Amino acid sequence: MNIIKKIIICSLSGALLLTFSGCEKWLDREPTEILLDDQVWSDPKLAELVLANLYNRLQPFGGLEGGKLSPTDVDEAMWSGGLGGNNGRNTRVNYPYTDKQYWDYGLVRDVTLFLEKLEASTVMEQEDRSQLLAEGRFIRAYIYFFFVRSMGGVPLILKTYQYNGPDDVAGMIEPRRTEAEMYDFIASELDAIKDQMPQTEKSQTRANKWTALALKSQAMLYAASLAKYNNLMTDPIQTANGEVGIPAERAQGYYEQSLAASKELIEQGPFSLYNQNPDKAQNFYELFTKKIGNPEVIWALDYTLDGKYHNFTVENIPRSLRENASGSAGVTPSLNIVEAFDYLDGSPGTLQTQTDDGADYIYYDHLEDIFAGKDYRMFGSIITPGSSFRGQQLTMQAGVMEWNAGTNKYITRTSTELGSRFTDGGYLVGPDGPLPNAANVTNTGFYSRKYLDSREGSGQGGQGSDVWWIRFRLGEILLNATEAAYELGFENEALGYINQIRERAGFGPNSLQTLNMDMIRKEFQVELAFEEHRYWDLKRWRLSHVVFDGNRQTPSTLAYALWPYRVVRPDDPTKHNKYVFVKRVAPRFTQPRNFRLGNYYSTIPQNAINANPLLVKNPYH
Amino acid sequence: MNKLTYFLLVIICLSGCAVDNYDPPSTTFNGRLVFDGQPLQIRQGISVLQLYQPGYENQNPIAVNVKQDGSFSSILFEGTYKLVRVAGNGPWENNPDSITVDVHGPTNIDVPVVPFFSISDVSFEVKDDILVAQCKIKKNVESRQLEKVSLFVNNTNLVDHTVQLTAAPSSTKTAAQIGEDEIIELQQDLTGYSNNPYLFARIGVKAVGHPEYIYSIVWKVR
Repeated sequence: MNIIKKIIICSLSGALLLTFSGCEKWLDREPTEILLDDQVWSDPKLAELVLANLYNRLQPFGGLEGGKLSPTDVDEAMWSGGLGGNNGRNTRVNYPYTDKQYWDYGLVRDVTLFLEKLEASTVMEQEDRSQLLAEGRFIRAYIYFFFVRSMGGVPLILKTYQYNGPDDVAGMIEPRRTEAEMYDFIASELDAIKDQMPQTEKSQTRANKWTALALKSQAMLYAASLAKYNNLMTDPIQTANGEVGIPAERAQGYYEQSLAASKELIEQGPFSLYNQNPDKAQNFYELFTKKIGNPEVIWALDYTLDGKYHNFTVENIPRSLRENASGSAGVTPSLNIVEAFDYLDGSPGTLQTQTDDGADYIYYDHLEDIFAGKDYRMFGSIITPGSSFRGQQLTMQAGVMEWNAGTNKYITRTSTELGSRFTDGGYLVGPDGPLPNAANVTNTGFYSRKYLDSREGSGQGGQGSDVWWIRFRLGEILLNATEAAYELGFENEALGYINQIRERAGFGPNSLQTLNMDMIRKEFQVELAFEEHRYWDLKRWRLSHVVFDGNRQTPSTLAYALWPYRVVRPDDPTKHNKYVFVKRVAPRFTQPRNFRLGNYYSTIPQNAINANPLLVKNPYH
Repeated sequence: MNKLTYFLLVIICLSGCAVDNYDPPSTTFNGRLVFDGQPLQIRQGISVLQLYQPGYENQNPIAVNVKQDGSFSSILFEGTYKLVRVAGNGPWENNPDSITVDVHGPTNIDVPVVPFFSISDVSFEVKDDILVAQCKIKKNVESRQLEKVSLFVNNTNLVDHTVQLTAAPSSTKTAAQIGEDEIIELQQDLTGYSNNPYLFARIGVKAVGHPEYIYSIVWKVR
């Protein structure tokens, strides 16, 4: 028995030993679902993956995804979609103080980690490493630009911190920098990395020398106009130590920096204004939807049908063309922006709907005739009644005006049904609206065209669109150069730039001979409509509280609509079956926009103030 | 587990409902904005007063809602608060000093402010369907210039420059049209408002560079 026991014990122990020695290998397995530091930072392709993630987090406002309602913040558009949460845009009494609040230090930490780990790695080739470092620094500068334009000066965190216990925290508290210091930091970073990104020189979706120059052109212009226009206010918006408020004497230097960056881009960059289609209206539309061979785009946020697409077209497509069970007519342009586009002969863009004495309507043979002679960019940005999209002509008609010979007046006939017919067989209400209170039908009489995808199927929720979101294009840089040159006193140079944009728009060469700030601001408004510029431009010119003063009588505070009606008047063939137009406040837009002085800079999140007693609150909060 | 144990458990759980509860605040805190002994008339809804209670981890201010006649009413916990006049939001001179308020039992307080202008000798009259309003203005702050004086009419008893129906030029006088120390007369034709069963009127004075107006009392037209 003893021997058998011994054998059993020995063999059991032996088996155990073997399994335990196998434990070593088991516990030392390499992980298969995460990548380790020394793998990532030694291979440029893997480091690029980290960079791709950072590139994908750079659209806090605006864009074609979460921020696509941005045009409804200003007088460009209103929401005509569903009657649920987003309809609050049409009824809000003022802009919340938390609007455009940006405090994403989590993203700052991720970028800083990227830079630190890349810096510390010794295995990667020097040229790959410096390329990726420069792109990372560009991203960091871009992030701090978001910070400064929403919040003013913020803590400038340039290294990562490690938490080793509660006593550490006191040493990690940073004060807010001044607004001017932030812009100076952005400028110095961009200058340093400008020539360090040769590998992506031709890219339109990654950072390179040209995106650095474009960001510098935009950021320095913001700083300059803030320095100038903030100090022209009776009560400049500022804090005691400059966290908000740039000294007026810095405006000149910032304008010069902006102009220099714009000029370098314009003169030395491989960019030209997109002008490939002789049909000027279609040309302006294609500028935004054509991705291959587009010489105007400097930097875009790209999408692909192969996994990263967006539903901008699903949400904004005209009602009669919708391919989805829900959506359509989301962000609809207002009459305000339609009338901002001038006529090609130079006359102001107000549409003529009534005779001069107001006695009668003006009768148009076709819906599109009222827009004849308008700036081609309007047709390229906005779908107007009678125009075509995807090969279909779109009929917007609010109702019928039936002439009553007895009372010598028109009776307005309408219906709640899209595409309904009147007793004479013609349309009563057009298949594309407008309707006063329905969801997903335009309330203004217009639909968005800029960035709308004409490819069949892009309006389906499951398929989506791959149209890209353009962040910088040559058109904007020319406008930046115009403003900077004009503010520095170089009117002829400014005219040179602005006339290039207008020539592409269809105005003919040298359309302007003199210039003033109102004309420049108008050009910003019409060229860059729906591109996430107007809100920030009005802020930096300190005009937001004037344009959106909460007063119902001020034309820019409410969203206006243009409603077409078909005339039924068989006794008068000069008027029968013609169209008349009525200008009115869009019925779903009930509250005038009210921009208060406290909206120029958003509130700092309260939990940040609780944790960091050095943070000074922004003015008026 | 027998029925008694279950019963006891239920009792314990239900009584737990009371353990974490605080009583709601119950001390009233009333007051008004005053200048020269008179309550100040403002636009309802501007954020001009905040209460801070130092000594706690949460440093959020408590918003005090001021009505258009300058009065406010809050219900607070007992304690010591600091009342802050938010800089720049109201049409008065900025006063960065906070007022320490001891709330023990119902408290009443007058918050002094110095508005840029004061309105006095206000009168309203309707003659032949035209509303005629008169007032006198006094400047209280040397550095502020007068921009305009306007007459506002609305169909509810909340009247200010963002909720009003008027647009007629005769209802506004700019500084250039107003002399020193004179009685300012403003008119508004009411024939366009015959559909409104209720009408209320108010005079507003605006200083250059500040978006808010200083108002008179609201007068009921009909």
